[in-house]
Amino acid sequence: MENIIEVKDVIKSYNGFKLDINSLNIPKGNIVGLIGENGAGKTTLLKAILGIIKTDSGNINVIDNKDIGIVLDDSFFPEILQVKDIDAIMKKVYDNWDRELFYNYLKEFNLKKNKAIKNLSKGMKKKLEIATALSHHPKLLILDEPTSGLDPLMRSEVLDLFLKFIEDENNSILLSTHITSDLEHIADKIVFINKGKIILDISRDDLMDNYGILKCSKEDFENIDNKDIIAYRKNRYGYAILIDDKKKMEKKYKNCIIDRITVDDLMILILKGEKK
Amino acid sequence: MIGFIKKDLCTLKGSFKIYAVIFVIYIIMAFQGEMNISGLPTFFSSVLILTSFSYDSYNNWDSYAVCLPNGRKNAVRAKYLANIVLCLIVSVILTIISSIISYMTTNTVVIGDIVKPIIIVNFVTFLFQAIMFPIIYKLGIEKARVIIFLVIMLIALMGGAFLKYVNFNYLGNAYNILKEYWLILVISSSFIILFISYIISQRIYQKKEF
Repeated sequence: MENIIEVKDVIKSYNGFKLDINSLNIPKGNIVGLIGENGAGKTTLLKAILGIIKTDSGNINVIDNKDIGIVLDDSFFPEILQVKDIDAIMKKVYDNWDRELFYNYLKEFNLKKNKAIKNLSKGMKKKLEIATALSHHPKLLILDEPTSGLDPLMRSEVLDLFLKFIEDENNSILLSTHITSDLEHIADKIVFINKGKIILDISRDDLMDNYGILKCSKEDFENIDNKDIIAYRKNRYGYAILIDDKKKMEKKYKNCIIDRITVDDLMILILKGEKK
Repeated sequence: MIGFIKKDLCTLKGSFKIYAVIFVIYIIMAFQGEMNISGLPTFFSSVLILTSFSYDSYNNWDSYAVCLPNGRKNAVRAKYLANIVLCLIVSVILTIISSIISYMTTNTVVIGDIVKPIIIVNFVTFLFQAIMFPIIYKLGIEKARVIIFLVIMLIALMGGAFLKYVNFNYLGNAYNILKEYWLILVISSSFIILFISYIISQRIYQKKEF
């Protein structure tokens, strides 16, 4: 499968933090979700891909930025501008800016064209940024926390937009998010970053089909092989164990319950869990 | 690049109304002979451009701008061009108004006498901005304000000392040539200085991280 982004041996150090990515490929036609706790390096990686920051070493191959739609973590349009000014500016920035499409998104998102950006709520600003990112027919969307500040209804509508965007198999999305449930709905692949390094790069199908949470009592826990435990946490009812081969574990530990995993569970167990 | 200039002009749209009022007050005072308005291009273009830098900084515009097609190059180029456009617009308006004032007060209009001080003022403006822009790109608008003030003070002191202590008669024939062609020299040198400043700003911006 052809990659739309290739990151190889990238290192970037600053302010006591080091981003160290050995290899990351974003296949064409995929939605890839970046997860990790605050300060893990998600935004730094996205900034490096977008050329906002320069890397110390390594290679990043990405398509021309005229074909990339962007939503950054912080709001970036001068707040003094009105919504309609974005159209006036962007049609001179992008050759393939689609004015009609932009105004359709404004209508869909209930954004008034004469409203000053400073008077928009955080969620409304995000919607404007998403509308802008989509209105020049990009092939790749790079989105840093695109759904933060959106209410559940609007989040669902935005996720549907992303799914519609990806219907064209030449289009791809790389997004970082703290709302990990979004990824369970739309992502093809999940990349987990911790302390500047990728600690897990997995397809959603692999995660959902093979990973799980094995729940057991203290007595049962003592009988579980160390090699079957990726990480575990003790709770008031017993133990929650992260496993990566549900079918095998079901047969092996018949007294235990195996629950479906969520991306939140995965993050918490890997970051906070213990090794036996 | 037009998009970037448009962004600056749209950003300043709100400020234009405030400065239009100030402009009118200056004009009224000029009509009454209480004010020389040749300095207006410096005042307006410098204040407006500083305002646009402040908006950019406050809203993290640059981190987005560098992701746009030719963003790194166009962001700097547009700032310099927007500044020149602003200077020229104010200068043209000023020339027209000064001509009207001259006609109403003396019944004569000597365009040369009106335009020359405006050109000198534009030269000073460009010199000031040629220093100001690279400092802003290097340090950011907040830190740059103090440094710019100190640099301008230093230049003013050095210029004052130069004019006070240098005897122009020693220049001999060169002084006569300068006297003859000063206008062309002023115009060409102001653009050369601004161009050098543009090259420096581009180099700073190309390496800058946001």
